[in-house]
Amino acid sequence: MGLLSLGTPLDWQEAKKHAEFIRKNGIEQFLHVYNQIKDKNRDNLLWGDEIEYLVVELDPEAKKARLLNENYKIIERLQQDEIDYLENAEKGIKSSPPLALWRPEYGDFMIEGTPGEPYGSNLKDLLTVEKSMQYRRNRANSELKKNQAALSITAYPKMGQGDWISPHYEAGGKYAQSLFIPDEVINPHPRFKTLSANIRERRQAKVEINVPIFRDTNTPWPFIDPTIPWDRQKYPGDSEAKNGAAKENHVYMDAMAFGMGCCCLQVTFQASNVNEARRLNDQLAPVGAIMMALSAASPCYRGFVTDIDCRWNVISAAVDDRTPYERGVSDIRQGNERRITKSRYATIDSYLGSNDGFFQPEYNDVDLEYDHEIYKHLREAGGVDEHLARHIAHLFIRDPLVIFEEKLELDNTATTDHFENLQSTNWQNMRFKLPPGPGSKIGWRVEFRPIEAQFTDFENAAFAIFVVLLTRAILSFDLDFYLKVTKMDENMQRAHRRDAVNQCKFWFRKNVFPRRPVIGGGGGDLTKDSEPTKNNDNILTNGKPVDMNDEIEQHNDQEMTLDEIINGQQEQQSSSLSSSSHFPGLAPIVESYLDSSNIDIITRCQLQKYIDLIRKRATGESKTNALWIREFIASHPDYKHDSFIPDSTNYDLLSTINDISAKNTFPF
Amino acid sequence: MAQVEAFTTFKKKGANSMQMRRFDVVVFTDNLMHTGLSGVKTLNKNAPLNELNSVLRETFSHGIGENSITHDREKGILVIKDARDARDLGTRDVVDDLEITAKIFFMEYPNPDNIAGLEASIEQNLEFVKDHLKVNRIDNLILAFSPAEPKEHIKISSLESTKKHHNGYDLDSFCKLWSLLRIRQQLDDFSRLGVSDFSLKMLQELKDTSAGLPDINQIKLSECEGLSESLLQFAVSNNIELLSNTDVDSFITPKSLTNATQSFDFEPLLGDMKSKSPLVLTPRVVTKYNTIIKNRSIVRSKGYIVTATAQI
Repeated sequence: MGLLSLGTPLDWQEAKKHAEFIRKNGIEQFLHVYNQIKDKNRDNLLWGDEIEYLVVELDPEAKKARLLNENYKIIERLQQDEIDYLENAEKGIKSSPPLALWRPEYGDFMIEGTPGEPYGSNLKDLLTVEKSMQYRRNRANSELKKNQAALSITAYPKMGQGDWISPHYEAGGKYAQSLFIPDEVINPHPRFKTLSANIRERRQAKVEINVPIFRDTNTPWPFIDPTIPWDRQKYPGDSEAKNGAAKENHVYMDAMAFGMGCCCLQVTFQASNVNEARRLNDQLAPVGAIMMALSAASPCYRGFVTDIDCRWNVISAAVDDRTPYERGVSDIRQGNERRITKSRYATIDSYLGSNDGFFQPEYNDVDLEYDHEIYKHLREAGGVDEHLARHIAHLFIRDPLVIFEEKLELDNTATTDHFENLQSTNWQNMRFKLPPGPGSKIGWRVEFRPIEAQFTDFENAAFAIFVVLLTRAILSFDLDFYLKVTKMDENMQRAHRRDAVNQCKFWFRKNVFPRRPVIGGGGGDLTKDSEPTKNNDNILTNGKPVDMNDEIEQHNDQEMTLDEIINGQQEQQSSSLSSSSHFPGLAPIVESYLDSSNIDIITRCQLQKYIDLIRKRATGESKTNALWIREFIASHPDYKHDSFIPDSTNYDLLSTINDISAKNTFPF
Repeated sequence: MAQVEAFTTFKKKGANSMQMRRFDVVVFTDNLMHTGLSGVKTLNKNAPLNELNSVLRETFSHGIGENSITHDREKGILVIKDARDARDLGTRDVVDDLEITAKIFFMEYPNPDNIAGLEASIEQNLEFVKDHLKVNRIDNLILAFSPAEPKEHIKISSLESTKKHHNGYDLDSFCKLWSLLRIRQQLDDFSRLGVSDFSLKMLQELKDTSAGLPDINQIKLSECEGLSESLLQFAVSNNIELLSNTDVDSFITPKSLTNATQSFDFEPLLGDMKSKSPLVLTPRVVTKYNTIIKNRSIVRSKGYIVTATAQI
């Protein structure tokens, strides 16, 4: 959702004048909190999920479906519980906390809900997750009319095409200047329209999103999108489409709404201390693409069936504010511009490292762009270690996009607004989150962001719970999932592919357990075994240092199917304790963790149902939402196999999804 | 080596030459949470994981270091500890954050002749766990009894003089043991007292006695669909927490223990007890412990302590 301050947002020409000021003070705010909180320890596991919903209106008579706009009014009503609770608290009146919290999102057709309070650390608490999600869905729906529904679908199939929004608005407002999207669909909070406009202005062009079209039997080839209003001349950017921005054989989109109007499931955990947070950040990063592929749910964009199943790259392009020089498409450098490889919505560019001893510098194999002055300041004045300093300095190569005039001069010891300004507009697959401040009870947190929103609460709960259990297994079994950043990036691209879950292999670490020392055996003659020594990583060895030249390390990454990654590889004989003969699978690891803990039988059995869904997704026995959507469209009588989604098909698709969501039973 | 001399002190006063060829061995395995693949299920998720046999083999093959073997002369015990789990992550667990469970597996049910021995064994194993984990109390004590006649006949060595043995469930004897343990519970030796795989009938019988019901019943989880609704209801009504376990039936036998230790050369340790006949290890008690960081649901450690009689 991002930072929702109030005030007068500055347009880009004014905002950019304050970029350095915001960065400089943001770093001071970070350092102030960091140095106060870095030794915070023994924080409980608390965690929560965020689910976003698209609100649709179904017109059975016309067999049309539309996104329902103006949900800010609905959100205001939903937020009343929270407002009442906070008012009571201020007056010293005890009341029950709200069961859900509601927040606006980029699209005014969206609602975001989170649990009223974080889930706890007990395994039994996991059984409340699905109930909380069901409550939120039902609560949201209770504010809607009979023919309206809040659906947890990742992307609205016909956004920006035809009669898709209710009430209807014409495309082409001054903020987005889009050929397809009216400004009225942007949430009225000033942050969102300002973001749209400033991204466009900074970039010096509209955002450019091109998604390969799915080539069906009747798809015109080459495919040139007939629905683009090629001849509109309302804004200078209108000509970008015909001047090359719209690519052949692709679906072209030109606004932030196409990306930030997508929904997802995000999970945030509180760590015990900063070291544990860094461990989880790093160990979960390579798992992101895996979970995204398993949850793939968005094969349709702007009225067409496309050749991708996931939203990530769409959003990445939708908020890409890099200038032509930064993107590498121009050699004309303005000011202090630098080449920047990725959009600010992308995978992490570096690991943080931790004291688990598993991190190797070679894993950060991307040439990291970072602000050297900020880095130096963090290191020298702030005492921040090199990896964390580099990470923060990398986030801060970006310009702040939304600056409120009234919120420039702040007390850096009392707020982290300027830090969060940059932090919240770097959208990465993992987000390492600073505690809000010294006085806060909230500790170091890590946010896992790649999962696509699923149709049902059961599926969303399964994915959220699986990730939480994986974090417990990582910390219990002391697991090492490190993968070079470039391989993690490659996985993320593969995860987008149509039916990646069944068709693709992904890089994954085979040996995820700590290197096992071999001290000795045979009992009597102990003199033949050398005294165990510790290498720099504090790992007991029999004298052999473990480093990247180690043969084990070199051949540790393998391309595995998702079935192998989740359910495990076939066991092979291995005489070495230092290397695994096979990868046991994330599901068996999680199950073994559960079987090692003191878990009650009811909880254990229910959790197995969630794990079983993940297992079945990996084997293909349970279809991804994306595959189900494709098959539904393909088999619809009105679909002409030309990649274009008719209104009636869209209506039937969304009606069926609504039924599935309501029953909370995914058919496959 | 020092070990050679130590065994001459194991002779018991007045013991005959046969009894002198026997001593107790207590083996502490590695921390299974850091053992790697041997602590994780394989592709065949329904196959019980005999992790004890796996880790015992690993301990004797790879885990014996210079300081692994010690002798408790006072108790006449040879202690063998796996020395490998020394990864120092800079984590200093606070004892208050930990929940410690000790599950003690006995090879036979309580009977009129073995109650004192069982109680002594429980006390000894609780001390082993506390000493090993460097804590001063246990949270959960769970008792498990072999429900069926094992293929190899196992006697509790201290009861060799008895004429009969019991391998069936004897309610009266169990209640006597249970009452003794309840007293220990009140003395705060442990917080909660539980059993493993007690059927509904066994619990109902226990309820009718003065001994009281367990706080915990660990149920073997093979199939969730087969959970007994009446057992679930009984547990809820009587505040019994039904936990799950995946322990294998008959998971340790003299043969399996001997196989696990076959790579280990006991001979240098035997001193004047050396003999041409092979050393036979008979497991008497197995304790499985785990340590959980309560507020984070992290399993910090899990391991086994096997007490066996070594006889040549």
